[in-house]
Amino acid sequence: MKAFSSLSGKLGLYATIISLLALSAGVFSLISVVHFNQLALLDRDLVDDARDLVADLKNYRGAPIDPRRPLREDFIPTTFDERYLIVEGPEGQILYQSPSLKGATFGLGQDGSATQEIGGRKWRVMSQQIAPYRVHLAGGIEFIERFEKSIIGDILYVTPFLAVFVFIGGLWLGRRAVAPVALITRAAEKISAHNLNERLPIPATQDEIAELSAVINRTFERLETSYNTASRFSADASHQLKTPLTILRAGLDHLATSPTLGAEDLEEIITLRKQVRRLTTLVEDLLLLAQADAGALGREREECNLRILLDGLLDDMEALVDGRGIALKVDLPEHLPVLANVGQLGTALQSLTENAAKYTPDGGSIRVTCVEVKRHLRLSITNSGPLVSESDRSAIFERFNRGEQMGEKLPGHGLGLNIARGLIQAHGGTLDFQVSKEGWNEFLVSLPLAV
Amino acid sequence: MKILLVEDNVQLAAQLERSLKREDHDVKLAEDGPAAVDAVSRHSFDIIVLDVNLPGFDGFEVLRRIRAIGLPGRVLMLTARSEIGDRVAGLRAGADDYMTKPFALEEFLARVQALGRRGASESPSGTLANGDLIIELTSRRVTRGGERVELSPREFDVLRIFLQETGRTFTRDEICERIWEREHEYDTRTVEIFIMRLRKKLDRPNEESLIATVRGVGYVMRPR
Repeated sequence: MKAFSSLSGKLGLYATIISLLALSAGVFSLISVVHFNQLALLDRDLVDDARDLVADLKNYRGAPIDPRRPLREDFIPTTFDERYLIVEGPEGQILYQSPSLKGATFGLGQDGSATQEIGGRKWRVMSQQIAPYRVHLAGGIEFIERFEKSIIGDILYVTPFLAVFVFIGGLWLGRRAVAPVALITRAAEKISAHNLNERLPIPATQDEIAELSAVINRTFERLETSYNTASRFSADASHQLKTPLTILRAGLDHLATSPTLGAEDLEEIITLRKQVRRLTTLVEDLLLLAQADAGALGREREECNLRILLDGLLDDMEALVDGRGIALKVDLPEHLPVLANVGQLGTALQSLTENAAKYTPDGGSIRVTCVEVKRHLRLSITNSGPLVSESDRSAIFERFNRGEQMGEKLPGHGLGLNIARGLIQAHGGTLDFQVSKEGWNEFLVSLPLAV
Repeated sequence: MKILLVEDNVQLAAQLERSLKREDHDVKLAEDGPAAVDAVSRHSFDIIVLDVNLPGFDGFEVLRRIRAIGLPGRVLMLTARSEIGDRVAGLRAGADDYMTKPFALEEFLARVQALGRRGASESPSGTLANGDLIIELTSRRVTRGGERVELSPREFDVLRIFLQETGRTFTRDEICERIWEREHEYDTRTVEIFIMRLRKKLDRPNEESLIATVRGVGYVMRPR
């Protein structure tokens, strides 16, 4: 659920929860107030009705009634039919009792109102001394409960709409609040090794966002400094390390052309020359590692067709396995446009093709295929032979690791796969190991295709 | 040929000078950027061998300055960095060729020679030929006697090395180095395989092979 994991989504959700809680609290207090208010109104009605009754009794058809005699049914107005009424005389004798009471009694010791249960239902009871009578009057309170229920019902009915409304509002508010953050994200994303000197725009407002931008800019500052230091180191080290190598090499080449040289000495010079070359490659690889650590790989890219690069490497591979009875199956599309530093990507892929040639036993198989998946190429280099042991799998991409079973007999200095992965990642891709369907060793390269 | 060698490392400069002189070139030395510009403006050179990393100002700056005042001379740049960046920058600044340190002396001399030839008469539209064998460098098309020959990428690379210097004997190591700059799993046997394949594709029956074996040394393509 992406909507709920984003900041604005969370804000919408929280706003909804909080407003629902606030609504519940509001409804609770509203109902209490309504209840109290309705009872007060009812109490007043009961008192008024009782007073009117006594006033009528005292002035019945122009002549007062004897307050000691029971009251006849026709003295009581029909408005009291829905109420319970008990009228007591001056000596406490009951002068009237609503027939619907069926003999039951109610009332309070002193003047006032209270809620009582009569005949299994709740009534609001009022007792009042209105000379010469004492009147007990009870009115039903179900209508109050019905009223409250209808209010709650109405609120429940609109609650879902309210929740949706608040959620959308929260979402909108959240979007507005995080919009500057999204802006920063986009701006920061544009800053790469190629334009490390660029900085984020700092908003004029003195708010948290401006502070965040400033902090990020300071981070970029440090990054740029260390990146430049690393790049300079790489350039300086290249020069410092390769100049003596060049002198060595030129000197050996010169010696090799000497006419007085014996066959044995020439042999030795050739061996030394090979060592210079090995040393050069090692220096080259160490510089690549230094650049990888500085995040400075993959610069100077240009669009190229990876197919051409692969054709050359596969040509080499075919020659490398020549005469070993290895079946080579290749299936590559004609065009594989990528944005690459050809030298660096070539180094990476060369490690993979050479590994395949190196570790496939005589009579084995190598398969190189490539498919396009979602604007990425997925290059698979698979070879038969003993599987990389489970314990080695996580370690094969580590520096100077050659796998325990691979042994020391085989050439290479153990940097190949580590550098290859660094180089491929610098090109926005991935390099992984897996066991293929056939149970072979499979190296999987994924690289973004150039549009 | 008159060559200006711009290199700040005295030892290397001396080695290169000695080798160039042995090939009968007339060599002058410059140790830094300003001295190089000064020398170029006072003498005329056929070829300038220019190191990138120099005191004063670097090789790119030297190149810019001598190109800005429109001085002649082909430029071979030497750099310690194998990254593509330097090459692009160098060629953009007007260098004619580019070599990465360290390099084989033989190849260095061959490149100097090739630049000198290019200066004398531009080779027509990037083709190399020996007798009826013709290769087009950009399209990588190969024909023998007018007939198209399909070569794999590396077979083409090997053939090109021979055609660039017909008559010169190459050791297996040298061929190896020229094709694969990095030292790797390729051994000289791999070179033999590519030569074998080339012979199979290019040679005609009852005729001497195009690429001859020089016993105990290497291979040669004799001019026809």
